Amino acid sequence: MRTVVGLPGTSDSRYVESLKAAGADEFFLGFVPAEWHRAYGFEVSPNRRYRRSQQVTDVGRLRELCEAAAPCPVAVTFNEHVLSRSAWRATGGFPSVGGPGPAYRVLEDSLRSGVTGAIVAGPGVAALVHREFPDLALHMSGDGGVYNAAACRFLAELGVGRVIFPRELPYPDLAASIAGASDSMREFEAFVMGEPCVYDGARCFTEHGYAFPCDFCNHHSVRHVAERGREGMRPLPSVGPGEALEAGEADALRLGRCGLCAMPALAEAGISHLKIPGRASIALPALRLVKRMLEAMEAAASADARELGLEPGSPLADDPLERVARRLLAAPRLCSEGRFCYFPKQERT
Amino acid sequence: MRERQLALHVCDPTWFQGQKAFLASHRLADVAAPARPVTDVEESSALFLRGLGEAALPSQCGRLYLGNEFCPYLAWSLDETLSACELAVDCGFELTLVSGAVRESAFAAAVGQVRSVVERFGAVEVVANDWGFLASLASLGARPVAGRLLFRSKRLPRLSRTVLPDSLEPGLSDREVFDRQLREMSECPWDAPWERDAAARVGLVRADLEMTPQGLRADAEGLPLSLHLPFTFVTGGGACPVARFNRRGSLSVCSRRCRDTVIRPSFPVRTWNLVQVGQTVFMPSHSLAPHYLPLNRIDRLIVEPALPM
Repeated sequence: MRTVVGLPGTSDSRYVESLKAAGADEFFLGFVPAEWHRAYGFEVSPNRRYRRSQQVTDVGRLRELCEAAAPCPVAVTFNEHVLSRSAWRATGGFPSVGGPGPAYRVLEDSLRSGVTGAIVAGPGVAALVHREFPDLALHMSGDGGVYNAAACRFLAELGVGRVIFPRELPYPDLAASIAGASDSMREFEAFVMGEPCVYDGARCFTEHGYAFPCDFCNHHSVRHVAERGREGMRPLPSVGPGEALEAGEADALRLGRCGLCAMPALAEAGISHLKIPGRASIALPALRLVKRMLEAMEAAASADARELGLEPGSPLADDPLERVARRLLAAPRLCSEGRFCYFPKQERT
Repeated sequence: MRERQLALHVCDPTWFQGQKAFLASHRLADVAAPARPVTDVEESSALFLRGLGEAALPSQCGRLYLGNEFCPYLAWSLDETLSACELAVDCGFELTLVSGAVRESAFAAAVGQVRSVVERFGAVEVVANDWGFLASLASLGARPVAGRLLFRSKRLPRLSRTVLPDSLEPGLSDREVFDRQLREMSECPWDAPWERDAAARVGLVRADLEMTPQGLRADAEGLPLSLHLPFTFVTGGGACPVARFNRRGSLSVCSRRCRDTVIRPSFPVRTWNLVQVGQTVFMPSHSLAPHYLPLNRIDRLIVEPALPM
């Protein structure tokens, strides 16, 4: 499985080099050039991020990042849920009537700068981009909402070469979707660690990162109170400043939701790429954990228990790789509660 | 103006109990209140609907939307669907089945359900909320409708004038950018040629929309549009706090306590008055209705008399 890592707008070539050294195989980023933000500001985005710091804003910087990433592929995120006609084909005198609009320019400049792929979020835009920019590899965003094999097959007909499954899709559905669509598509990507959205991007139509830092839906800040007739108001459990955290849990929570222990199952299901969001955060710590887990999986394949960090003679539990994953995350209570799992163990077995 | 149809969305198969008066008269005023406590959001929305009156709403409801699109645990069984369809047809309503985002593990059952309904009741409309299921419907003999979860216009947009104009380049007027932002976000997504192509590819006959604060700019002609009121879906998915509350750690069972429990999420940023049902967040959008009702292209109103539970 290859790792795909997000780049924030503040990235430079040194950061990209450090990610490559840590095991990144592919990158993705947001690109909002001057032509776009002069037209719409940063509040309207081509890629579901709404702050300047999360976007590469300069063609020169984009080229620098692509050169630093080479030979690793770089995809531009173009997954806003709605693409307007005037953004694609300029109207109303801005910037020039009838010419390519700011959205078209995002892809055109990306391709010229060394970007190799585009991440889109709907079949209409997928077909459009495939027709106008056939040299860009086309990925369906996790926000596109692919929940079944029929969707994978439908998208493959439109030129989509990879599906990124939504965060909320349970493991059995993900595995069955791949099994049902592997004759029409070869690349499947799953979230493995990072940025803990409370809601799911594929079904979230408000702003990703409503205000700094993701205050609308940041899991540390949202409080739920139940209102139920005779029982009255009752707070629902949540993790946050009011909850005492054990040692190591704060670090684990900063990493976001986690799929480390599910990685062997993801590989078995046919996941080819592991997604580590990083456009609004530093992805390096999460990437290092994922890479160590991949190394453990390789070691497990060679059947050397010592390489897994298990003591000689210790009874190998039913799943030694799960133990490795738990050690890496170092937050046993969170692991056992399963509250931050992308793919809870109960749903995988 | 085209003749506008009134439809009622029934999310819970047990809803029919106690609705004799409505089923006989087809009048919204005869819909019985839910047995559970009614929230203030629902009360104010109901008041608004009553205030809107029959001048804006067709007097009789001719169609029922049957099904829940928000949570896989609330999807209707085949028996529940067939019984509801039978009752609805007997009472003289047209049918629209509603499905959610159909996960692979539920796909065969959902296909079987549509097939059974089409066999018994003919080419009914089926609302799909994911592209895979949508792409399968025409071959089953159903009439595909794009659901509200495929209407992906921004909810609660943050515009330059409402927060900070810090993104503005020197020399650009805030007003100018704001107007462009509004135009950009209010365009009807189904009017772009690439979306029309995608719609044609799956044989779409209609699209369901919701009301958003930025409004809607729709072409005069195009795919027929329906409008949900008075609640707009905002966000959802992920972990369900009610299920977590009830399951006591187990993820395998859901006791559907969301059917009688409303959640008040409190967000650190002040925003619209939001209410959460299970894993789904809604905004009451009835106050936006006067901006939408004059649009001729909207030839159907889908009313939810209470929160979709």
